[in-house]
Amino acid sequence: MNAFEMITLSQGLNLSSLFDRQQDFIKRQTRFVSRKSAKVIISSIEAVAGSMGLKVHTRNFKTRLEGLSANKAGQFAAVIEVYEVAPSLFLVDVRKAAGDTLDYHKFYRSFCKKLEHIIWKPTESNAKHGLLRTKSCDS
Amino acid sequence: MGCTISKKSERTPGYEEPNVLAAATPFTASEIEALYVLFKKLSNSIFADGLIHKEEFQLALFRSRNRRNLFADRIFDLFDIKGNGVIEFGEFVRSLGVFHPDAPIEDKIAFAFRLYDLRQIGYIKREELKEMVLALLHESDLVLAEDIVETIVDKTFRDADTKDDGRIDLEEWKDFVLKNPSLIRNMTLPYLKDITLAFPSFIVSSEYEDSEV
Repeated sequence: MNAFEMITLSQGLNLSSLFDRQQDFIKRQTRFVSRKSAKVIISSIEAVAGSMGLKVHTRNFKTRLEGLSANKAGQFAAVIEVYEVAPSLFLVDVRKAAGDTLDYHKFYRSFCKKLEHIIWKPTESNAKHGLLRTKSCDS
Repeated sequence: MGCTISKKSERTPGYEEPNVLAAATPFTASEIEALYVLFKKLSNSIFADGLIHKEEFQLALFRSRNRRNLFADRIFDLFDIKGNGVIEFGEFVRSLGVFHPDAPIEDKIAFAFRLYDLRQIGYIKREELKEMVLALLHESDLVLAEDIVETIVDKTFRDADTKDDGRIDLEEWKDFVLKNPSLIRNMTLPYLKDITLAFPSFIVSSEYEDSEV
């Protein structure tokens, strides 16, 4: 993923919000960073989603989760995309695809708790171990 | 959000006739009428003056009138064609036209270029790209070490700056986008096509009795 692609994730560039009805609006961005391999990230996501009772379908670093809403009355769906922003550094973007906004936020909180082992939270100590000046990448 | 009740004859400042705008954009006249309903809602949400102010724009995008965002600022500035600090109806429609699925891709590419050319110098400089990456990370509550950000910016810039002159010009940007079409994915809003059908809630609240839908 290149920097311009990353920028397109901004809420400020997503004009569809001008057309959204009130209840569809997601107030906070839901994405996180991981230093695990893409394979581990995706398999962890699939495992957690499965344990939450959701159907999982992955293709090309894009995973779709589907299931019933919390009150079983409606559909729920989320789409997760994994982007490699730098060697061994992945940005995982999670978006609601269908269903209630409140359900989605509850889902995301629970989802992240279960994925703590792959979510990277830079601290003072590990931030210094950020990528070294690497040789230019082949990708 | 306040909604003023206006007579059909009271138009917002900077109003342009639907058929004039339809000739200049991919919208039909009835789609433009639907956009006018949306425009009135947005432009009267805080200041009942029929003009979209920056806070009203922020309110519409983020549901928070005071949320500052670099990219929203850029969009606002580009929509404000006359540069008078507010978005009028004509400017609104003409700018949204670029986001229509049927708009020419060259227009979308050029609009995106102007968006990212933060200081409007006709080039995208490395520092500007870095500034935008940092803004995106900040918006996402993500923190990355300085050298990681540098690596990301470096690699992208090297890929795009094919003339290797330290800046990205429009020609290099066009080539880059044609190689990476997802770079302009947010420059197309599918709902703009057949907007009258997609958003019946606009028409229900419309003052026009003779709606075609």
